[in-house]
Amino acid sequence: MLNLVSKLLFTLSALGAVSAVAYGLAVDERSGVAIFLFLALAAAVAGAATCGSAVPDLAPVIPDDAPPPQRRASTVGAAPRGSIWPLVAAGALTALAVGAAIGPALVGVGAVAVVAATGGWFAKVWSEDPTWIPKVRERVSARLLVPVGLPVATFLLAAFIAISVSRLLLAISKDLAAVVAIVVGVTILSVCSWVAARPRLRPSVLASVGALAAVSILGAGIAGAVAGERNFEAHEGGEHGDGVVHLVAKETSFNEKQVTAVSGEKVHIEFENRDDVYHNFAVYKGEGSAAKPVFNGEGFSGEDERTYEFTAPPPGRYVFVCDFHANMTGEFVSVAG
Amino acid sequence: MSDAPLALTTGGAERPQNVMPLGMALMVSSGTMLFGTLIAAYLRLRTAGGTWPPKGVVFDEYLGNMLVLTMLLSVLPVEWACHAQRRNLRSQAATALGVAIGFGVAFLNLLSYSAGRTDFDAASHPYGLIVTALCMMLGIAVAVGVGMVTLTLFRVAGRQLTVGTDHLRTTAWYWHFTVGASVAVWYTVVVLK
Amino acid sequence: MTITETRPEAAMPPPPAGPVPAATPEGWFATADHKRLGLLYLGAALLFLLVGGILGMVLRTELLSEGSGIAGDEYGRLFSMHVTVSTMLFLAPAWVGIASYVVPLQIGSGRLAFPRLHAFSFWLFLLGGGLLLTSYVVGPPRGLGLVSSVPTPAGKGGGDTATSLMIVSLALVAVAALLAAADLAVTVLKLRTPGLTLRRLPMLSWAILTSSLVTVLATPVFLAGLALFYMDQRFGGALFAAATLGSRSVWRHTLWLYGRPDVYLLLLPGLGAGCDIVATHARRPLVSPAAGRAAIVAFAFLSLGAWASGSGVGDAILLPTYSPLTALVVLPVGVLVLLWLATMAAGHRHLHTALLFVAGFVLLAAFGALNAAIAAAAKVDGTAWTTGHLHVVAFGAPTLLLLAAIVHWAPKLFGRELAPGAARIGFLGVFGGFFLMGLGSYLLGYDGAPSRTSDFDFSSDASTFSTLSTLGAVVLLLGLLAFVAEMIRAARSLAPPGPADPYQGLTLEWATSSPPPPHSFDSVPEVRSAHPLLDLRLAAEQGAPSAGGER
Repeated sequence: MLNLVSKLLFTLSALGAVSAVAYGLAVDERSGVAIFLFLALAAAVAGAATCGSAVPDLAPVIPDDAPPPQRRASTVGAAPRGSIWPLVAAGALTALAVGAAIGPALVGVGAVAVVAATGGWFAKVWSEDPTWIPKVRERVSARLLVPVGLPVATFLLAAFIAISVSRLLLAISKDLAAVVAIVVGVTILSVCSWVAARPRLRPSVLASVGALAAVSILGAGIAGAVAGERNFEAHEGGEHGDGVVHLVAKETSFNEKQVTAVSGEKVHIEFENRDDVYHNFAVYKGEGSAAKPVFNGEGFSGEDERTYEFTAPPPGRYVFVCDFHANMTGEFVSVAG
Repeated sequence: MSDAPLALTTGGAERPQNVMPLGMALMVSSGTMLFGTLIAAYLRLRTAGGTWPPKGVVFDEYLGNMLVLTMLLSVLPVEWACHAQRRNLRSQAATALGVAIGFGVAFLNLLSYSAGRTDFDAASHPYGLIVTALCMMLGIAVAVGVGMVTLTLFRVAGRQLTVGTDHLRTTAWYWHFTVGASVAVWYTVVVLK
Repeated sequence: MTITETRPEAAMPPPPAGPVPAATPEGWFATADHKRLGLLYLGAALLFLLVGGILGMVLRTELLSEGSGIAGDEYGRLFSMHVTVSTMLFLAPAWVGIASYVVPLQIGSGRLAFPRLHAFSFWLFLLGGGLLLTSYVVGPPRGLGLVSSVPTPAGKGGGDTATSLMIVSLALVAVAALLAAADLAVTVLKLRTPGLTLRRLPMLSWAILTSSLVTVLATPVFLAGLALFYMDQRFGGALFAAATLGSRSVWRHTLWLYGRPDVYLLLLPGLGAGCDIVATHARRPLVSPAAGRAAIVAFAFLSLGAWASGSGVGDAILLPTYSPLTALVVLPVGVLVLLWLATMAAGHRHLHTALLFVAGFVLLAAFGALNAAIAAAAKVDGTAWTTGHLHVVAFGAPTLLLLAAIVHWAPKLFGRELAPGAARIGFLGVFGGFFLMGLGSYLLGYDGAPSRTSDFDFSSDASTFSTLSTLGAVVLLLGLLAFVAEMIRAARSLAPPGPADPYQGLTLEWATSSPPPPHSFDSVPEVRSAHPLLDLRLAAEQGAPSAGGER
């Protein structure tokens, strides 16, 4: 039997079908026809689901001699039981979405979290079923939960902490990473020993400490992943040490504004040209027409890489330029050895 | 409205009955629009001019046909499970669901294999992007379906789903929706091109 | 009495009576109670309104001074974020909040069909909304995003994090809206108390049912568009960078055009709420509820039609102001307004504050319609006129109805009515603010100032009009703050809660205490018409059964 809503949806379905035909006749373009047909189909599915006994829409017949209306005991009973799992599942799905936006590492964490949250939610539903009696619970707990579930959960927790913290460590500088790693380790140890020393800690306190830790670790992981990894290969330009400088020319500009070398020692310039025009690396003393060349590297077109070698000039300030592009300049500093 | 006197159940159980099939039906109509939009986008790009599919795209029709056949075959075990549950044959229902999971995993495996074999990807051209989007969405839908069937299998095995419950029927509807979606995608990409 | 009662769980213990237990944080985080979820949705939506309002004020302040403090691109991004936050994170979820709270009460149910799914949808919305704001802090996202009718292509070498974050967060918010809508629709369809047929549904519930069904059908279109947008961003921009006719229309049909049904859906629940508010305070059923239902359905169909209409127009798509199909929307709204006036004329004339907000809606909508009529003659679309029109029609008018609903159902939401004085100050601020803002922008538009510009010529009258608009925005913000402050006061007040039925209401939500107990109902009145509480009162007065009313 059709009720008001199924009539409405079937009307919509018919309208969709008529529009598809009309659109097909008026404009010879298949995509519009397709979308109208799919609208018709979708509305028909919803309409079919809402008619008949699926949505009963009957009013009781009230005879003339019926007593006046009155209030009746609630048909509802207790309020639905809540659960923390929807919140956890939403958090897991959000983590997965952030991973989709940021990078594959977090996708893995998010996917594991989504599976875990689904499992937790399902376990909650399972335990609310009438078949779940204490005897069954004990049996499952003894056979499954403790020998299998506990190690798996511990492993997942450790993996979660390791991946999140590693994201953070990869994003910050080397020295800071060591400090952070030590601080995180000491914090985990001290919080655990603090908890261990208080066996009668209230569960709510424990839960809030756990939640705080999880949120901060996840936050650090996300922040780290957003910031990206620090550059491991390329040494900072201008650093003098072994005399190797990595310099990149990209979009007609150098990536470094200053290059430092030790006077009298060999300078190795690893020069990378990422443009499809000619660039080179040259050092001059003085500027303008008075400039005297110190070193002129051979020009080449990108994308390619060359290494220039020359001996650093006497201590002082020089300029380095690209001979092909006057606006590509930087400062070359030679310091006493 | 009907004139027949009605026996109204005023005592609702704590969990109302029969809400899940209706909720799933709404989700299915929503999913229909999702795939419908993607297919319409495919057709729009197809008629936008230029050769379609682009030059150099070799599409393995055999794999596409195998994919849709796998999904079509999986309808049988799912219906078998529903049938067995109506007769309270627990082990049969569980077996049937297990077979359905096998089909779903086989589909996902074949889909990822096909994705690895194609000589284009989402970055190549609009064709590559829209085909990847359709396949990816289908993969997600089937993966969710496999998850749902797995959870239902757990409950069947745990004697939690008896004759009167509608979990299995709801799961079956979702599964059939994914089968329909895969047929629609197959028709668009493999037959229509 | 031919109703035979079968009560399978007669042995169930009686539900606990008494006031709502004190809220504990765990209780809020793990709740599946439709009332708490409703309040959470409403609270989160108001929080996002604050953010959207601040963004709007930043934009306004920029217009006030000569010269650009915020340059073109940056201004456009801020504008895009302001629009997205104000609609997707404020108006739509605020209506979900009202619906989650009131609709189960209106249909005599103590719960939603899928309470945990609803909780999931709320948390998803909250996290997704937070992520959307984060994307702006990280980024900001590239291009004008969803406000633009031309695709936002991926940058050289693939998408940036901020744009990808924006896309996935919008997807989360859309999925949350979809799940909440499906849950509300199933709740109305399946959990009605015996006797409450679809024709006897209160108007808010009817409007929520129709708007939920439209959401279920329209949101996946948007999600599909987001999926393509995401893949385009992540995988090097093969689709939208091509800028072919095909990819452009894919963008429009999936992402941008979604704005149209969405804009309508922001108003649809409000129209239903308006019917209930007018009927309750007139203390009589709506004149011709069938016409009201039909008008709401017509409005819902038109919203879907507006989305589909774009495919016929091809490239010449306008903002939702001019197309003949969208102009048709005036009809159902006009029918409803006439029904409201007729109901007021025939009923008890008591000007409750909620009615003031409804009247404000009618005036603002009329103001918008008048200007649309003027604009049909003068070519002003795409100028500041459009900005003003969107603020008045698509944002101001629905917001007034939302506030009317909050005032009307405050006894249920907060346990007591809002203080009339404070609520009226709020009304003056909000209505006056929207009016001034709209007036300023309309005049600017007739003057020819472009839309969404960060700066314009200050030599003409434009400066005056712009100042008028900014003044309106300030008044609006103050009014909203006053209103929200009064809401918080009412919710936190320690005074004993008000009466169950302060208005002599008609529908079932007034049959339970204010605020309702956790299980919502201790007892539900028998439903024999669209106004069961009126029947009860008549029966008590006359000692005789009332006429059946509409079956």
